[in-house]
Parts: sequence; structure tokens; C-alpha cells
Amino acid sequence: MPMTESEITPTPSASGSGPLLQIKGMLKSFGAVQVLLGTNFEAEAGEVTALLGDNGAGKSTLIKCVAGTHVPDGGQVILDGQVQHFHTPQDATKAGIETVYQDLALCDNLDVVANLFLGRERAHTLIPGILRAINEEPMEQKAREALTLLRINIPSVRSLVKELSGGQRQSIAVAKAVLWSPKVVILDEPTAALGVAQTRQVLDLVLRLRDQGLAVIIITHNMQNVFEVADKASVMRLGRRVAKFVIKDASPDDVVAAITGARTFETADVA
Amino acid sequence: MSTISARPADRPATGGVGLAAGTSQNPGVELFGLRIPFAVLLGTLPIYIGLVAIWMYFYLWTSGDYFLPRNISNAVQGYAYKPALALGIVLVLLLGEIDLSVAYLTSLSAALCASFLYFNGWSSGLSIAVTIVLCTICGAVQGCLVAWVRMPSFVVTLGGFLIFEGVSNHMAGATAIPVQDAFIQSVGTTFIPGGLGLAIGGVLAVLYAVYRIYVRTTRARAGIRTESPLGFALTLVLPVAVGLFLLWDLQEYRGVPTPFAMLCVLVGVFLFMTTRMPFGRHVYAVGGNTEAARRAGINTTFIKWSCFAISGCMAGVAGIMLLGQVPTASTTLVSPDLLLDVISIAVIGGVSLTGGKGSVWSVLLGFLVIASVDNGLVLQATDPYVVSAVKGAILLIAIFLDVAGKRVGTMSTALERLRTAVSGAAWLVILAGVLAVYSTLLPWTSATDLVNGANELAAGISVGNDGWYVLALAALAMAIQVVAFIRGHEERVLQGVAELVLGAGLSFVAFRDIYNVAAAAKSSSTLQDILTGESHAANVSVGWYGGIWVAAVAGVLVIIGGLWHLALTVRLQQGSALSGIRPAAG
Repeated sequence: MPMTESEITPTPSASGSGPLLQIKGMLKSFGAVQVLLGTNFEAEAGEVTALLGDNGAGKSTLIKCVAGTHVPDGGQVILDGQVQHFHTPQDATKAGIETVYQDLALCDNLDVVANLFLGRERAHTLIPGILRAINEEPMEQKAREALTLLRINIPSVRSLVKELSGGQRQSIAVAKAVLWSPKVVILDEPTAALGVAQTRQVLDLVLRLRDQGLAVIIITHNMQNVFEVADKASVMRLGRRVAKFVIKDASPDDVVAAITGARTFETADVA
Repeated sequence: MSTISARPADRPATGGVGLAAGTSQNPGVELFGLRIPFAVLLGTLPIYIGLVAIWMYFYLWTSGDYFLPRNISNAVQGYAYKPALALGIVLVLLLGEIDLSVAYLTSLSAALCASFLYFNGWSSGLSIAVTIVLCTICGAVQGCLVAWVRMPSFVVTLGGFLIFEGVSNHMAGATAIPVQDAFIQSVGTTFIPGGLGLAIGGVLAVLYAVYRIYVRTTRARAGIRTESPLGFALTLVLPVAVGLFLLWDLQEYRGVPTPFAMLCVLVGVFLFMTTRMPFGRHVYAVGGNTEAARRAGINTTFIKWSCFAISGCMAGVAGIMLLGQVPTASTTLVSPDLLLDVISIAVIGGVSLTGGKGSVWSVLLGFLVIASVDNGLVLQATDPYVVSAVKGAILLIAIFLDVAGKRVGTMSTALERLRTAVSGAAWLVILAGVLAVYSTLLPWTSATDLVNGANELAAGISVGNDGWYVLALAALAMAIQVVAFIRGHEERVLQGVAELVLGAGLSFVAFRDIYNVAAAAKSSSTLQDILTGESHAANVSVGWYGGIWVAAVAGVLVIIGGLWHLALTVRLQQGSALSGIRPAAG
């Protein structure tokens, strides 16, 4: 893949109108257990959308269906106005949806550059199809550029990931996802297990991704985070979306009520 | 390769995500001005120091025979198949898996190849090719069971171990299969003649230097940080010097043994594979975090499967190397210790059994340790059971240091005193090593030799007294180090001065000895005797001469270290005045 500036700067939505990512009537069951009962969800470019819900509400399953880890039983994933069919995580990546999973993103024993380019190393072809030699310099240069652009500070791009702090690791995981100019970035519990200062770093990074025009989806249990960075929120309960909020018009009490099922909201999906 | 632990961050910290200040750098110590993290200091560095100690010990015990070209030649020839096996198993260990079957797959390889030659009457080329392919398939089948069926590798390869043991012993058990094939025997017993060996070595050294300089200039041009000049010089000069010294030593006997040359080629191939090919990087990734590797789009089952296949392939190659040395396939061809020797070679060198950590260099390092101990104890005619026990103890010590290095690395600040103590101890060990070489020159040693009439040359050029000078210098430097330790923090100025004094003394004495030996040789034309180690004066052998050079190089390094310490002091003072960087010792 040739190196261009556009790899970092995301391409704006081609259709220009309507949500960049739209999920309609998603169905998924594992054996007899129905996890998703026709869930709807939208995410706009240049916005942070929070996906909320109690444990077992189906958030992770929904995200895995979008990320290609699970193949849904029914429903549609529409990206940029086009219906997508993902069978592997690579399909979703190719379409422009990158997912950052908690604790699963990085190899501790490799350095930052190796992690950023893992599985997509730049290499000279010595014997076509058989022998390729890793070309470190452009990768290292590109890594530095990307980290500078996202304002991620680490001691060196050659530091091993295990030497970094929790916030730095999470930032690297996010940088790894956005290095390939996706349209949608999904962050699964990005601030879980982080301290106050480190949470701040990651939330700042989320805002910068939003400012660059990405559709950012953030799954979290932390209500404070939601009100700090999210523009919109969707709340799931028992496999359905039970409420949609525009954060600046919503109160934390409403959101909590939706999560616990204490009240019903008219923005809920039709059962 | 950073030389100061706190340096300004690359990028402005304003609004940035990372923490520029307070970032936990790897805690470590400073040695000769190079900052060495605990993980290295307690990890592989003691192995290097231990290796030097082992060499010193056997060198003194065998009165120099240990370093005779003949002995080194025998050792690298006889042991070469073990590191070849270890290369294969390192890939499997990097995955966090294990391959117990390699030893008896080696035995099976020898039995197969011998029976192809003896019973089927195939040509040597065909026999070798079919054998290696069959062994690769054996490894690949085990790999399939591990990667696709997801059986634990321990169980799969334990089954392989028993199957290959049974089959190979069945094939060669009733009657040993003799091998008369000239080509197979030449694999194990011939030598690459000295001149050719040196020429190839020289060309490789030049290529290596050109490659390193090319990479450095490319990186510098691209604006990427390059390693420090001292680190660059060390990693450029040391391997070349060691390699050429070894070549030159081997050439003094009969040349480079063919199995050892094969091993060198294999090491080169594996180095390239693990460090420069995407495949190698993916092996590390799978060993570090299989799930992350899978999500990054790496075909993890393929990686696992192929590592086991490569391990099987190397067992095939090792079997043929072994068959070349012992031209009979029998049930006793492979020693029962082989498997543990191979795993020890990998683990002593720093390969972790939990995966993701280690390198091909680990194999060379582990091989040097195991072969040095094995060979030295054999020279001493030690009971083979004791040899096993000693190797076991070395394995335990190596793992202890590895684990301790990791623990200390995570405990950070509370160990400030220990940190200085370890720094001082490492210093003392290196000095003691240099001293050990020079101790053979102390007057009493020379006096004994004089009585035996064995060392007239050494006596003639009166190097005996120099031992005292070195001892005095070292004592002075150690005293300054001890003062620095008692004061509880690293005194860079004091250390710098101590190092300058010691370094100057060491290199003066060493270079004068080198000059003296050369001059004496010119007048008495015995230099050839000295260099070939054929001289009766055991102390003035290759090892002795090498010892002077060690001292000379050590002296120069210590001078550089001293200058570095002083320069660092100046720079840190400027640095803290300007931007409040805390000094490395803090």
C-alpha cells in the first residue's frame, strides 16, 4: 500500500447525508439464547456515540457483529449507504471499521512500531511470494508521524509496549486502529482499569479522533466519561435499544433510568 | 541504547496524551557510561560474565590447553548439531509451545538416512533430501495437531518423542546400520581450509560492516534516531573481532570444521528469518499475544504449524550432521541428555518458556556456555554424571537471574541501594576477569614456570612485574568505586576519574606487553610458536596472547567509559539547569 497523507486523515462520508454507520434490525442468538432482538443503532461521522447498557444487554455482541467477529443471524450493517456483509474481522477492517478491544489489541513483547504495523508490515520483496524483508525505516517514520499527529507522547517508538503506562498502551491501541484511515472506530471500554490522568489522556484522544471527522463509537460503563466526550448515546437493554439521547440535552438521571429499565422512553425501538 | 534515563520528550507535551515527565523508564544501572536495564543486567549480562569466568577457570586449570586451536576445533565440530537443533526449538519456544520430540527425531533422521543408503542403496543426495523431507513432515504433523486440533504441544510432542524413539530404535536396534558413504562422512569430519575460511570470514565481516553503516546512514537521513556512537561501534566491532579471532584460531589447527560452517549458515538464515522477515515478527506476536496477533490478521494456525515443521526439519539436518561424525546409526547414537541439552541451550541464552521472548543469539550464547562447560569438564576427565549435575546447576542459575531480572525491573524505586550494589558488583566482576588473565603473569606464577624451564620467553621480557601494576591500579579503581557505593549514590566525577586512571594503566601495560612480545619474537623468532600454541610455554599460548588483547581492549573501553561519565556529568548539569531534567541516578 503506498504511503500517503490520506492514510491518517479519514475520507469524509461519500453520501454526505444520513448516518455514516447504520445498523438495522440486528438479530443474533447463541443456541437457544437470543442476544440481539432486532437492534438498531446509528453513528455519525465527526461525532462520538456512546453505546451504553448493563452487563448482558448485548453491547459486545452488537459490536462484534459490526466488527466481523460474529456473523449476525439477520439485520443489516449499512456503511456509507452501502449494505455490508462481514464474515471475518478483516472484512470489516477493509470496509473501514476498526475495533479496539480492551487488553486484546497489543503484543507486549513487541515495540510500538511493530505493534502499529502488525500483520501489515512494510517489506521489500526479495523473491516474489516467498521471501520478504521487513523495511523498518518507513514504518518507524510513519509511526512517528502518526503519533505526533494524534499527540501521543511515548519515550520512543522503539519502546516495548510492556514498558508503557496503561494510558499510553490504550493510546497506542487506538493509534493502531486509526493508522489505516478507517471511517468508524469502535472503542470497547477504553478507560476501564485506567487511573484519572490516564483516562484523561484517552478521552482527549477520543475527542481528537472526532475532530478529524471519524465516527467514534465508545462502549463504557462510566457515566462521567459519557457526559465528557459523547455527542449522542444509545442505551441497550435485553437485546434492544431502549433509548437514544443527545447528550447536551440529557441528564445523567435519564440515562441511568434507561440503563436500569426504571422508565421507558419514546426513542426506544419498536418491540 | 539510551545513555541517559531522562531525556526530553520527542514531541511537545502540551495537550498530549502521554506523560512526558514521570514516565516509568526501565530502571537500570550505568556501566562504563552505558545505561543497562535491570532486565539485561540480571538477565543475559551475567551469562556473558559467567561465560568469561568459565573460560578463565578452565584456561587456568588446563594450563592453557583449553584455548588450543585443536580443542576449540574439536568442540565446535562435535557439538555443532546441538545448536542446530536448538535453532528449531527456539521458534517453537517463542510461540510459548514446546517440542519434546526433537532429540529422537534426530535419531530417527540418522536411522532413516542410514537405511536409505545401506538397504535401499540410494545416492547420498537422495537419501539426505528424503530424510529431511520426512522429518519435516513428522514435525508438520505434530504442528497440525497443536495448531488445528488444539492439542497441548507437551502431550503431542511427548507422543512424538516415544514414537520416534521406538521407530528409530526398532530400525537400528537389532543391528547397527553402518554408513560408508563418503559424502555423509565428509559432512561431519572435513574442514574448510584455513585460507578459504579466513577469506569467507573477511568478506562476511566487510558485508556486515557495510550493511550496518548503510542502515545507520539511511536512518540518519530519514531523521530517525540512531543508536549512540559507542553502542554502534561496540556492536559493529565486537562480533567481527570475536568471529575473526575464532576463525584465525581454528585456522591454526585444520581450518573451519564443516559442521560448524553449516551451523553458521543456519544461524544466519534463522537470524534473517526472525528479525527481518514478517514471518519471524509474526512468530513473536503469536507468542506474545495470540489473540492480538489473530485480530491483526495474522494466520496464527499457519505460524504455529510451520514452526513445528521447521523444528522437525532442523532435527532432520541435525541427524545427518550427527551421522557424519559417527558413521553408524544405532540405538546409542543420540544421548539421552540431548533433549535437555537443547532446551538448556535455548533457555540459558534467555529464551522464555512462556513465549515471545528470546532470539537466535540466545542459542549461540547458550551453546557457548553448555559447550564450554561440557568440553572443559571432559578435559578435566570429570565423571559424566557430575557433568550433568553441573549443567543442571548452571541452568537453574541462568533461570534465576532471568526471573530476578524481571522482578527487579517491575519493583523500580525501592531498590536504589541494590542498584548501586549491582553496578559495583558487575564492575568488580569485569575487573576480576581481566585480573584473572593477568594473574598468570604475576611473579609467583612466572617463578614456577621458570623453575620448570617452561617460560623463558615470558621471563625474558619481564612481564611478571606488570601483574603488580595492574593489581595496584585495579585496587585503586575499586576503592574509588567502594567510596562511591558507601556514599549511597553514583558519583560520576569520581567514577570517571577512576576509570580514566585504571583504563590508562591497563592499556599502557597491555600494549607494552604486546609490543614486548612482538619485539622478543622478532629477535628469537618464536612468535609463531606462541601464536600456534605449540610452544611449551603454556602460559605464552594463544590464550595468553588473547588475554593481553582482552586487557588492552578493556583498558580502552574503560577510558571511553570514564570520558563518558565526565561528559555526562557536564551535560546533565546543563540539562537540569535548563529544563529541570532529573539526573539518571535519581
